Amino acid sequence: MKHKVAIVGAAQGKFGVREDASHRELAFEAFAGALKDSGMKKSEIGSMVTAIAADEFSFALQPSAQMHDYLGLLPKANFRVEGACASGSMALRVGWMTVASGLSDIVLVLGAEKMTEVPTAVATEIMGKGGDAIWEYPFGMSFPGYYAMIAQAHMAAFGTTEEHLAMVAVKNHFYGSQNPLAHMQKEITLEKALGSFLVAYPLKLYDCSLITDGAAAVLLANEERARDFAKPPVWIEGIGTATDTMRIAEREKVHTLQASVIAGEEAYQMAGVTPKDIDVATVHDCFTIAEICAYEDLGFCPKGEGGPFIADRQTYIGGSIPVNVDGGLKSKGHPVGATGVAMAVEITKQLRGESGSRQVPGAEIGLTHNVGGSGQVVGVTIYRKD
Amino acid sequence: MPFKDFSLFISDTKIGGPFAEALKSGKIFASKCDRCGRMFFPPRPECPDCLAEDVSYVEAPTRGELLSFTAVFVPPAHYAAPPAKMPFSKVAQTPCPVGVVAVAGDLRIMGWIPGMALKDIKVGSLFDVEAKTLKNGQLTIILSPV
Repeated sequence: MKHKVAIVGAAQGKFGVREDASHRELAFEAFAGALKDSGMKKSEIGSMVTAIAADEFSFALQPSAQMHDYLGLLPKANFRVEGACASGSMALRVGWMTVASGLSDIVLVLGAEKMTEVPTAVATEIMGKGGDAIWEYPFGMSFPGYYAMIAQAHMAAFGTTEEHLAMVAVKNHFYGSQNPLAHMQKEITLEKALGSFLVAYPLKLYDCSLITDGAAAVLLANEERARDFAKPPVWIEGIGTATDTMRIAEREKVHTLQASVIAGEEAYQMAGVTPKDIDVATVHDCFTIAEICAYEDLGFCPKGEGGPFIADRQTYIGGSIPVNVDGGLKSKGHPVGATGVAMAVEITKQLRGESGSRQVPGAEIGLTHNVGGSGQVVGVTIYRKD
Repeated sequence: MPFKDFSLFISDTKIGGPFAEALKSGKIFASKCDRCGRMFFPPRPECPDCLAEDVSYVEAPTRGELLSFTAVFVPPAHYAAPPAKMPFSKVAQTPCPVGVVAVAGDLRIMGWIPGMALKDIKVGSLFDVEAKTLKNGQLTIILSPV
């Protein structure tokens, strides 16, 4: 690669049910936040990459053009990248490529989604078609349905319990309650999680992430420009992406997201680190079982031991690897296209030591893990403090 | 048979007509590449390994282990019950479980599991896969315990 790439500005807007703001206004909040965070002038931005998962939420053929025009970045290059729930990480990958190749010195990567424009049942249908719309949707499959099958297979193979799943929700709500930008800022008990209604057996309400509106943005710069701004740069050291079968039924092991394993290995190798070196991680907890799979598939614990790993509180601050201490998708919310970018924002703040009561002390190396669909595409990125 | 009777949304595919015809007559078609012998479910009219377009439709094996299952209690709009007409009331739906059976190595078939309570369904147990025509004419696939 011609250039090293760093994050020099990062911001997330308020996640939640944002009836007060349009798609493009949400984008502006995150954009203005990242610009102020960096102290950069808007004119220094060379190009933009936008992550939006679904047209069905934005009621527009080219929502990224709407946003880009609204941000006032004409006539700089901009286009949209889509990888379902991993759209944000895919946009980060394209932004990284743009800087690493020398095409632009500074790139804006912005992710946004306004999911509550449609009723919940319609959002469930849009997300359900994120599986195989021809061969799986006719069996009434929803997005929670796919992960419920992953959970059932995991429980049968390793003895993972509904309590283990609920423990992930309790942890993520505990940290989400300390994050003013999170959608649902309240703690929950194990009993409340276990007593909530079934969404897709065995997943219950508190096993599921939220239907959320929101946006997040990062500014990337090459090594020649990275130290010209207000905050110390956070370097992108490793970037891995892998894919898996469209139909969850075709996976060799339904309880393993093989694309997470491969993308993780690729990112670790590129960064020259091992899972033990990671100080703080955000992983894709669209459902509680997904966080347990991520512990295993990224090598934080051996395969099958994700349940006991959360039971031992190993992923709390003070444990062997703090995970989703921003509340995760579970409590912070999951505005699909924004999620991967918001993960990069969280790790940037953690590595700068700006996370307040949720700060992982002395964090130097961070990881983000972002899953598209039920594992069809996964992005893993590794970051290092300057 | 129109493929939409099975797929709900898609009018047709290259294999849609024959697949739906077969379901109607109680058979589940897989495809088999005439050149390399690889089998596919869902069936497809070409082989992604050797790019051959010479494929035969063959009946898929019908017995295998249940890989996983669920029941979707909060369904997508297409399957959602209409809202309750009585004030202060809710309409509760008891969804039919759905599972995936591995019928022969890597051939995986999804289907409804009617008439079984969730607590009685066990991953790894043997199921038979059957084509089914519903009363409304819709074509589907069901799984029954052996």
